[in-house]
Amino acid sequence: MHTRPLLILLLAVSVLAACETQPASETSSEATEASGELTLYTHRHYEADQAIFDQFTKETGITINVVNASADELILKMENEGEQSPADVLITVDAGRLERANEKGLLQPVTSDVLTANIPEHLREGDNHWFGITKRARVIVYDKDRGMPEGLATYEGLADESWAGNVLIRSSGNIYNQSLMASILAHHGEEGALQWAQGVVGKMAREPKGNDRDQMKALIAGEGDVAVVNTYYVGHLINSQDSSEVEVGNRIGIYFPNQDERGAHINISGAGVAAHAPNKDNAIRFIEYLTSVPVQNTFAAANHEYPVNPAAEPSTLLASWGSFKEDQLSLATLGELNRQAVLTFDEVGWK
Amino acid sequence: MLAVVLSVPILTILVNLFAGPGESWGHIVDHLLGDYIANSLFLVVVGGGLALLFGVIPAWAVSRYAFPFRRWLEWALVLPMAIPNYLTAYAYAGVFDYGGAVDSLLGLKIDVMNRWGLALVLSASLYPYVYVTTRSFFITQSGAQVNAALLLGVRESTLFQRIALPLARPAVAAGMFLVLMEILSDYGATYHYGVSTFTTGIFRTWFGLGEPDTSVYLSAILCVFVLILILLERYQRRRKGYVFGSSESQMVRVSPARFWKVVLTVGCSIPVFLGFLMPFGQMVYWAKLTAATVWNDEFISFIGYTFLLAGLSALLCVGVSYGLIYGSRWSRSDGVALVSKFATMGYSVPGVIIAVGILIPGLLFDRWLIRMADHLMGWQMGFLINGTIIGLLFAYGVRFLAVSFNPIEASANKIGRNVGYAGQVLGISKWRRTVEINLPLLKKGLLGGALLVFVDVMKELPITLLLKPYGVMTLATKAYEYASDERIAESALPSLVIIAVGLLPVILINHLTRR
Repeated sequence: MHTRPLLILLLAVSVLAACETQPASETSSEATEASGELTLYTHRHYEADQAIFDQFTKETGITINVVNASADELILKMENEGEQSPADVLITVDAGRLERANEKGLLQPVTSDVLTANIPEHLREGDNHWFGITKRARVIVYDKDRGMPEGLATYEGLADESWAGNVLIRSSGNIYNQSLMASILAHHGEEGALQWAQGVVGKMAREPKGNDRDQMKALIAGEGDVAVVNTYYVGHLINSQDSSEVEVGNRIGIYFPNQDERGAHINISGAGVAAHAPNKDNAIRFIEYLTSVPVQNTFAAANHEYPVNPAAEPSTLLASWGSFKEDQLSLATLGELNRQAVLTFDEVGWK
Repeated sequence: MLAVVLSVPILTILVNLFAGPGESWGHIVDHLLGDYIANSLFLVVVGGGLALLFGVIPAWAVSRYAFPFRRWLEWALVLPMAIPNYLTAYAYAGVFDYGGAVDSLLGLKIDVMNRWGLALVLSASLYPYVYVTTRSFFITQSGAQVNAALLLGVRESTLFQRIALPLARPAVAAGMFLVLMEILSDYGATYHYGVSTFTTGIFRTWFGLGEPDTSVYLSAILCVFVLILILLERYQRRRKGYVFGSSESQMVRVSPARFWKVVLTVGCSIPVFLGFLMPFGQMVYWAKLTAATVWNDEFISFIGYTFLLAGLSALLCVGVSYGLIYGSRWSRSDGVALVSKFATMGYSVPGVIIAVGILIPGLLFDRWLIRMADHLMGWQMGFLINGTIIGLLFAYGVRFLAVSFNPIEASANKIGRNVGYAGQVLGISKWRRTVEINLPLLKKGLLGGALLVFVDVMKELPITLLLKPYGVMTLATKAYEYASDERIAESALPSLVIIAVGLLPVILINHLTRR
């Protein structure tokens, strides 16, 4: 008896909720044929992205529903939604996660001459399950006021005795480090990677903590001589609203490692068409749009990233860092070796 | 029945204890489990201990003594509740950062990004749970006993230790329980500070190793740990019967010597400074820098959604708590009581795990429903639970039930059963007893519980991210978006709005517990 008012309450809530959700469920099933819809699951959320989406809508009449969350959560969501998933396009900020989505069968191959023409081969999946849309490099940075440290050459070199107590790098829970480790695994095998990781852990200036920006601040504060960070965070610092961050950014010198051999480790932010995409054509059109030259120019620059389309120009800031040789390792490998990378980190106690 | 439904997500998780872990379990035991256990225990002991100090001592001070700024401090001590842990953690990192306030003003380089710093951050932002429950007890309940003790010659210096603290144990325990649950399930702050605990381990195994089964196994172990905590709390409460008189006799506030007045004012300001003023100040500074880029019309819709979700969940949680408490009271079956305890365990489980515990059965149900609707009626329908507000509210309900359950249960215990029996003897119907007797008597507990849930939902992150419908963006998810892009300064404005909105219920809680 006592539960009766409760039940009434619950009922009221569910009715309310049902009203709330009705439009949403209608759009997901019916509006499909009416054309003009695209559901985007994305890990990227920059204001500039939204402006580009709006522009796409203006040009094509296709409206975009954006679902923002971390890539892991989006993948989990797609996995659980299965065939009913409303997702058309999945965008992540690293290749490892895209490949994981692909391994789980969440993406479908796409044949598009536009995409194959716009994107270099190593920046897309072999069977065209996903495509890079912007590019970033994981580089070694130093304090320009103190000058470039001697002996800076390769990622591998960071394990050398000369760096003892001077390497700043974030925790192994971070996907960018996992991808870097995956590339080391790909080039040196399990044993070599294990030795490298062990070496780097021994040379760390402090326990890994904080994000990439924090590594650079610690570098300028003198806690270490070199830091490993993604290029666009340098751009963020330089363009920060916080004057002390700008100061840090301006003192950062960028060193592209491994230039005499395989090249610097790069990663992508990329997109794939969902396996059960209700609006497949719109999805392809959208990714094509993102990789077109004019969009690439703004899209990549907004987050201080490099365009993937060779015909597009990097922003003035990025151009000022100079061009560099990039590791041509297929980025799909990063995803395949991600798990192994995490295990390797754990074994050497890289927090 | 309700309790069973509410237990589904947790059961989904616990069943995995028997299913066993995935293939990396050996690897985790070899390299990581020791750290997880050590750090989680460290945070529980050090962070919990500090929260205890920050909560109980000021609660006694403001209830018992008169000193300058007492009325201000009395409510300011609740303020940290309005700031989510992870935001406090970011702000602390900012304050002690290179070029941060401490560095540029004092020239000091202090590293807070380690487990000691984390324990401080967590205790400074969580102690109000203890403060609120304890102070409310001191003000409303302990007057008679304290007055009696004083008459019997107990000295002021031993009053707290010998009389007040032992009496307040159930209240302190209720607050501490919430603090410990929050500490155990914290992800944002803990991850940012590079400390590995069970909860960060759960995320890492799931997303880093791609092994949900091992991750769920870890969650299940955490659940067992929490179950033990719950039983301990029950046990310590059961051993002694607490009988409290009417709340009529109030404690008399005394005025100590001047030296002690200064000590009390300064002492009670410390938690306010650590938990509120410092992080708040940092955020105001950041917000000033970034407001122009962050503020736009959408903000109003974020606030609207946040309010809607928080309000509905508060109603839901309070309703269910009431049902569970009175369900177990009347049915007298231990089964219901046990299930109630079980249902409130959601608070100890990381939000992401709850979300998954709902996604899995929710989708099964949705698919079944879609098939049935199509088959039987020829209806084409969308998901009923998945990605709708129903699923989201359900998840909030599971997660935050304990938050409303505990204060309501405490109020219900205070009323005792006799009132109900009397009503029964007088032949008043159950429905009327509910509306005319229980609800008015429970008003404080119900409102208190509702407001706590409201604030918690406003701050909630992982569940909202995973289960929210399209286009719904809460202030917390917006703040998180910025923070996850390493644009922590930009996250300050939505954070400040969360804090500002959170202040309303905090002030109300304060008003209610003041009597």
